Amino acid sequence: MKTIARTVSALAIFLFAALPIRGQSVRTFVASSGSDTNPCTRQLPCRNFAAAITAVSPEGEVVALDSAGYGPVAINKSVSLVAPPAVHAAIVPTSGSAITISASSIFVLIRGLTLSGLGAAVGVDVPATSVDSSASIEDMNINNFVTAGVRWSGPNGDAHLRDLNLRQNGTGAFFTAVTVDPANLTRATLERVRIEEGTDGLMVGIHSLVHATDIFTSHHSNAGIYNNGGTLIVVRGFTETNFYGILNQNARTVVSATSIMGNNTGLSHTGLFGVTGITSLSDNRLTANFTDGTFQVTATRY
Amino acid sequence: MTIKKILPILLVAFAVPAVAQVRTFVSSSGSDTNPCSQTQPCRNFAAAIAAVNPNGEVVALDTAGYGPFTITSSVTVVAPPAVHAAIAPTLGNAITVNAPGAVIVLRGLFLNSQGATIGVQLDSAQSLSLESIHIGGFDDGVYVPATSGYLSILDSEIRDCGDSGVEIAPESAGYVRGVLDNVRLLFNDVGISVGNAQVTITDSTFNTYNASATGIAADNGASVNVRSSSILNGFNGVYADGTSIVRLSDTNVSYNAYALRTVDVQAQIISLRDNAVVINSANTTFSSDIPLQ
Repeated sequence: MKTIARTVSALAIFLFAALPIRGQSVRTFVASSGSDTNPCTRQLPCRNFAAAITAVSPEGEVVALDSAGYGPVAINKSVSLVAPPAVHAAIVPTSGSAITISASSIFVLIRGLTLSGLGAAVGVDVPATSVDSSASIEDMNINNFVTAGVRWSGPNGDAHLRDLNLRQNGTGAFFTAVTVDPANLTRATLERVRIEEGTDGLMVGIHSLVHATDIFTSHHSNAGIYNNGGTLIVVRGFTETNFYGILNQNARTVVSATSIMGNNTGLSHTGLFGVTGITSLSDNRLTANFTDGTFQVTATRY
Repeated sequence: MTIKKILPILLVAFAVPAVAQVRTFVSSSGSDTNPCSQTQPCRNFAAAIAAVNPNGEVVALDTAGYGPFTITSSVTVVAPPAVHAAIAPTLGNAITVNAPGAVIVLRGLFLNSQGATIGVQLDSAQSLSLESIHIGGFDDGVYVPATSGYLSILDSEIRDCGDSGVEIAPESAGYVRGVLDNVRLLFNDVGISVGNAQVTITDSTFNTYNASATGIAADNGASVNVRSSSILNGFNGVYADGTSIVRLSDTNVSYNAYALRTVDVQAQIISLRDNAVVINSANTTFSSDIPLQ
């Protein structure tokens, strides 16, 4: 009797020890050889990002171990989702979004992934229901999404985009905060972002403050830079070979050390917003457009 | 005593730590009882550092977490770009450098706090270089109470720290020199806080996104030169008190409540006449300016 009890106890302990414990690991992994029935550990990785996100604890890391496609994912907790440079970790959805930041008040880092749309609408989507969330999106290629490469609609959001190639998306990157509270601005900072061959490159909407340095936006059928009701500062930008270099509607845009060349119309401003329209810091290159257009305000660096 | 009894004792006695080497290795499949060689790597940085010669290298061979460590002599700890080598401590420091006179290089590491308070603490060294490092979620990302030495942070980002991304605060009357080049300080309560030190910042971004936060804070004794950088979205863009001096060149200060704030008569924020201080709520005037030549 005692022997049976001991054996059963030992067996129970063994079985429970062997069961994967979900949601408690500070770091989870995916691999081409993984399986979503695994515990997503380094030695037993999962196959898809969605499983690894479920298995990771908040503020943990999800790491891609080798090159493969890892499936669309909704991120609903603070997490770092990382593929090291030697790894081609792709998400290639045919509908919806590649990555959705689907919760409020979370802090997300996404680095090193390749997102390609095969009919899907959005690369990285932050819907209006995701309030007060922050994300860093870094070192990525985001291509061929019908609506947008990056679309941020969540109020009071904070976005930092760095070293991205956005190519052949409807809009490359789009920021707005559709909210009735004008204090809930969404802020976005772009560094070294290249946007090519879409309808619009960088689009800034209402209730958003956007700052872009070293931005390159070319070959868009509408505007390289389109500010429709927001506030935008562009430093060391290139907006070339678009229909509009900078299209500014009911908005405030400040431009410094930027080249606006080779467009059908370099600068276009309509509507009233404060009194500023498009402001130049007297250090831009506005030339070689079919129609150059004009800055509304000229200021200087000091 | 029989040989049966003596032999285990002898075996234990001779299970000596690994012989020190010019290069040691860690790997996800390693073990800290290994000699930390390339073919028999260790599992944690601490073991590999103990096994390496002064001025040697510790290399992470593949993606994994490798544990917090303390450095007491010159060493280079490297994770190549293909490797995600992480440290996710729950308390204390991820990395402590207490190595008088030593030269230390840390490259390619990913430090992610799971409750720990400090990412990298520099107590003592001749020089410490942090290159391509990610530091996130600590109270202080880099904390420097050292009273001398040279700190270099290159091509790195430090984010989401509750106090400072970088705090250089020599404990006693000391003087530290620091350089930040291509560093992003994002979502911290203070991007960088500088005390008795001379710090140069180039091509960097301070982005606080916090209604009470400060991009660059300069305290008594600080001399901070900023070039070709962005200071954005703070309560204070630049905050200077005591006898501190901050000089800005080719820098964009925008979207702050107070762009350039001096809170003591002696504190100065000086312009090299080529900055863009635009779209801030208040305090957009420099103390003085210096012409380019």
